[in-house]
Amino acid sequence: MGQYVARRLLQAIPLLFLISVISFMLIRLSGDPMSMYGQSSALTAEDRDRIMAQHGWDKPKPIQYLFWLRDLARGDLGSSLYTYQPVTQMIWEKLPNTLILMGTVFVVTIVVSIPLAIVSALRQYSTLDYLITGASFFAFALPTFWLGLVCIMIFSVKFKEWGLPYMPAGGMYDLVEGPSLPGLVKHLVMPALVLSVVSMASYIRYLRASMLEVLRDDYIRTARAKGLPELAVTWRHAFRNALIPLVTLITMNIPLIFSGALITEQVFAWPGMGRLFVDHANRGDYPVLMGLVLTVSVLVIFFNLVADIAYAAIDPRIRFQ
Amino acid sequence: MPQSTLASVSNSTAVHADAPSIWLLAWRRFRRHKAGLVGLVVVLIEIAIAISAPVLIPRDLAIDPNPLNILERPSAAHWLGTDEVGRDIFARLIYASRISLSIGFLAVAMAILVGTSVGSLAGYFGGWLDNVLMRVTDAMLSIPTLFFLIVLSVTLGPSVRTMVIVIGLLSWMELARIIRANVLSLKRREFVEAAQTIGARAPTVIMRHILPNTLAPIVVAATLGVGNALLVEASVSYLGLGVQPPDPSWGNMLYNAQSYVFNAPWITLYPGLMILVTVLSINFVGDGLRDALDPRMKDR
Amino acid sequence: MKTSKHMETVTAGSEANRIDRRELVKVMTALGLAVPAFGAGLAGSGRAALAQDTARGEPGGAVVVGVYQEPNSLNFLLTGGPISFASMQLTPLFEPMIRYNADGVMEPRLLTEIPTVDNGGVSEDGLTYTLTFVPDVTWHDGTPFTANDFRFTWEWIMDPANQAQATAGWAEIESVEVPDDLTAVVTLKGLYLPFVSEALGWNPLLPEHVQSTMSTEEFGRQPVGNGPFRFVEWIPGDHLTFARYEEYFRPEKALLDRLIFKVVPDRNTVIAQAKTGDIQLGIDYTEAQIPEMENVPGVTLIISPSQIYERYHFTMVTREDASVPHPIFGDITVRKALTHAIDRQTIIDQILFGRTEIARNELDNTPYENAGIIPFPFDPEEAKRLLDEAGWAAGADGIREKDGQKFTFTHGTTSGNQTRETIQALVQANLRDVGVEMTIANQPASRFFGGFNDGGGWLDRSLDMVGFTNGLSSSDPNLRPFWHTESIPTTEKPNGFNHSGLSNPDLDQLLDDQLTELDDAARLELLKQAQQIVHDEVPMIPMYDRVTINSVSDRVKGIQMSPFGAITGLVWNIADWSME
Repeated sequence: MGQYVARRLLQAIPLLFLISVISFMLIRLSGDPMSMYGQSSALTAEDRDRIMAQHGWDKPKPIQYLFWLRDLARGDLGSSLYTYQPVTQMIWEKLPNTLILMGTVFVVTIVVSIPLAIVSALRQYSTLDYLITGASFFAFALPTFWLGLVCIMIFSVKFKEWGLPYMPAGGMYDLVEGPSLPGLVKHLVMPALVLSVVSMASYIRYLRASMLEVLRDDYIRTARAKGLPELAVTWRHAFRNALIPLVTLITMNIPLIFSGALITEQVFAWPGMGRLFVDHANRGDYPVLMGLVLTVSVLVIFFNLVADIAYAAIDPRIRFQ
Repeated sequence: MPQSTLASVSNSTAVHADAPSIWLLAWRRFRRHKAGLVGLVVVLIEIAIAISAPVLIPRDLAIDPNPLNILERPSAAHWLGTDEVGRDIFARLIYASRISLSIGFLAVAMAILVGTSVGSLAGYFGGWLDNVLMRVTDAMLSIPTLFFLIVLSVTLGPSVRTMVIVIGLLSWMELARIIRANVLSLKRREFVEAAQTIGARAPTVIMRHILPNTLAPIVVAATLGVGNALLVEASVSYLGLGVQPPDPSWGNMLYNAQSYVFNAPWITLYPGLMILVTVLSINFVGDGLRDALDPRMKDR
Repeated sequence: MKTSKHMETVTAGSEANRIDRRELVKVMTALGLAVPAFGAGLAGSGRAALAQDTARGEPGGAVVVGVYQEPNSLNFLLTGGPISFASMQLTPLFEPMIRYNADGVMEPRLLTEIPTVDNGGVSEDGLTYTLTFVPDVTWHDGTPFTANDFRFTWEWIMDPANQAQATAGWAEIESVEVPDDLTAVVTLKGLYLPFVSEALGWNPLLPEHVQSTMSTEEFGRQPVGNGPFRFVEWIPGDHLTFARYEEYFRPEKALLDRLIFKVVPDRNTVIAQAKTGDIQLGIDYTEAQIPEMENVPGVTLIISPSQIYERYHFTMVTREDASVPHPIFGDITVRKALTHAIDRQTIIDQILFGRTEIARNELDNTPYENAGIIPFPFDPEEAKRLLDEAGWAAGADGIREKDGQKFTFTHGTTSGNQTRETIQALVQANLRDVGVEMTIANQPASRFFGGFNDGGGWLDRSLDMVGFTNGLSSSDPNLRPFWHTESIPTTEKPNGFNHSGLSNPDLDQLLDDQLTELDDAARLELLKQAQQIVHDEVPMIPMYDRVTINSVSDRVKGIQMSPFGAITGLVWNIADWSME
């Protein structure tokens, strides 16, 4: 197994190289850092020439990539062209915020959707099943930003107009009162809810389908035929096997916990990783964008490996090759 | 989670291109899926309206601003009211359906084209080609989709064509993996080996013998992909990178309506509902198709 | 009743404090200082709406300001000039050398007086400036401020290693002598009229004892200033907190305990937060949001004019060779026709809610404005006639043609800007009425404002017409960077603001001459002639003067909007704000 892990890790190097080339070219083509200075006529033509030369932006893009790669080889992701902060530091500052939001969403999603999916699958075609699947289909078809905006309109603005207790419309805590746990929770509710609703929808559909598939398998029939109690069949046999796709789903979604929710963070002014990307994409700030893409890619690759190892732990039929 | 939905139909039994009975059977099974059937009807009606839009309502109503009738409430003259520059919202919704549905279907067509080509080439030829194609697939899968989407839309410049290309380019990877797996198992089957022995060339074998037998996951992926593309279009529009004015799409109508969400909420409601209903219907169809095409479901 | 009385007080007070404007303009113009004449018209109405007690309120409380964008650094010199959007958020930390008050008049702050020839601050030849600083100013760490900090700031800006962005004004300095702690004697390399407005206007200084021991980045995160507020904390992407500086050198210390800038990226969320009271000030709304915010109980919307304006530039020459005319817009008759075809007044009335007026040129709302220029009126018939005259005959499908070429062109601006997109739609319809097809090709701002060789649509002439906002960014009326032939951007010389590619020898001469013309009246005359030529050549369609729209909770007292640098202009008297 050690050998298998080592081989997989070695394979990751050319993969990351490929990702960095593709991303660098796209990011560098998509925006020009000079756009940060916009139309500001406070900068003279000479100022602009000097700034471009200082950063090497007057050189061809492949050369600029090599510069970036050279710094990376030294373990340096560079500094933001806009805020002058080291990229690693910027990511570290946003990561906890994103983890709070996405971690909550992740836990809520799993805790709520697993039982719902199981019930739904066990009672296929019951009213409850129709309700659960119907709701998840519905939630799956909602554009996130619309849902967020409607929530703000109702729970913040209208509730205040109606004199009801209202939710804060954005941010992480009340800035005048200062940070506090109750304040954080209050600000977390709406964005977490919006994201949970959407992600629950896909978890439920997915889990329900794989439970149903397992329930139809021969060994479940055998177990039932043997006269095992239904609960034992569900938990010992069905759930354990339905767990395999669940592991895939979870490991596939773990990197999302780190990369954050681009649009929801934007709508609710949540200072996380997704917003970091959007903010700096608008400025052509490529060191930050590259840092984010690379960080998330490393996480994806790592968790894919974890998923494969987890399969082997759950499913004895799978062997490392 | 397209991967799962596809995986469950990936092991369909071998068929030949000219074996209609399987599809007939599938249709019979699909008909029993009520939600799927309703979804199909809704989608077909929408497509019919989209195609016949120029006959139904003049395009000028959807495009020409009328600065004197801004943000009017629904009335007999404007069934759903007017938008922020005085265009008829009903007309815009209809013309938007042309654009949004085209984006959905064309993007999916593109994803299928790329995904099927990559998957079948990698699976059929194996070796270094397989290695290269699958590493590129892995790389694409490792980059967060929305990150990529923003960067690509910015690079290509926002337009309908860009939306199609970008959504297409970002949704072929799962399909490629599944097709590859299917091709790997199919190419050792007798009928494929037989074809190879009588001297059929690779493209013929792939097109005539292998792909028809892996149609089920493609069909299901396609259906669910259209719904997904519509949602992606809305997200990209939110970031201001969607279809450019004056052409309406549901996504950019929703985005433009945002600023008026408080004092003219009805104008955000309609495009939002259109997206909701369409995605819902398409996903029902996809669900029905999966049940219909999965042979293990037939005895239900 | 009460309100009107207070308004009278304000008006009377400001009249009394105001130096005779004409006199001031004359003196300052001679030195290259503009006194933006915003007092009348739009500015007046914006201010009157907000007119409040001139008496200072009670100390205490905190104000939260919602901004959609935060500064990149808290070092002024890294933010792209003192009146950029970001620098508004730094103004409370640093005492500027000179500020502009609500009447757009310069007030010395760190300086004891504004240097002029008359008061001996400027030598007769205009090359030597003697700056005298106010005594007893301390930095927030308690260290006294001295004239050495001025010399250090100049040296710091001019050292390329520090990556200061804007060097305008400072780059003209030959040497700085510091005879004593409160005096700096500045010698210029040559006569440079915009020196005071560019280098001294709104500009703060750096503390030598702190900045010399820190990297640019460190200082930008942990600034030590000398203004009424001191830095407390900055959580990037979330908020920026300042607190009152108790040892401020003026008796009028800041009234607010704390001032917080909160980053809210989605503009609709800004509205929601202004309505729920999470923020007391909402900054820089779009015009589309006016009806939304106008009737919110407890919140006042301030709409104030600025000296920047939205313009549609024709691409008059080709991208590859700036001496080859553009196939369509190389023809002045066509450019005139299109200007006649666009109904700017309706756009202003309907989309901008009548809150601004049709723009004329770069010097709108300044004393240098050539008020004799009358914008081309909306006249579709005249437009059609001109197009016929230029040889563009009506085609079969309603689109005009000439020599087999259809009159269809691309128009680009920043994507995702709703006001701009809405106006594009109206312009598109106007042009279709005269047989011209305008195709929209917008680009995201990160690309649009890029460099000439990096696909920046605003200046690289790959689009046939571009729309954006620009204008003077200091109070000096120097038009040379905008319209001189040498300012045309090209592949080899990618930086310059003459995006259209206007090249007129008479205009070049005027623009060169005005830079060294010491005589006030003569310079004004040169500038007016230059404006007339720009108007006659129609290199662009000036669309409308931009306004700045902010919302203020009625609980915040003491705000007096200054029209200079519409956003910095909000916080110019931040020390006088209080919470009710």
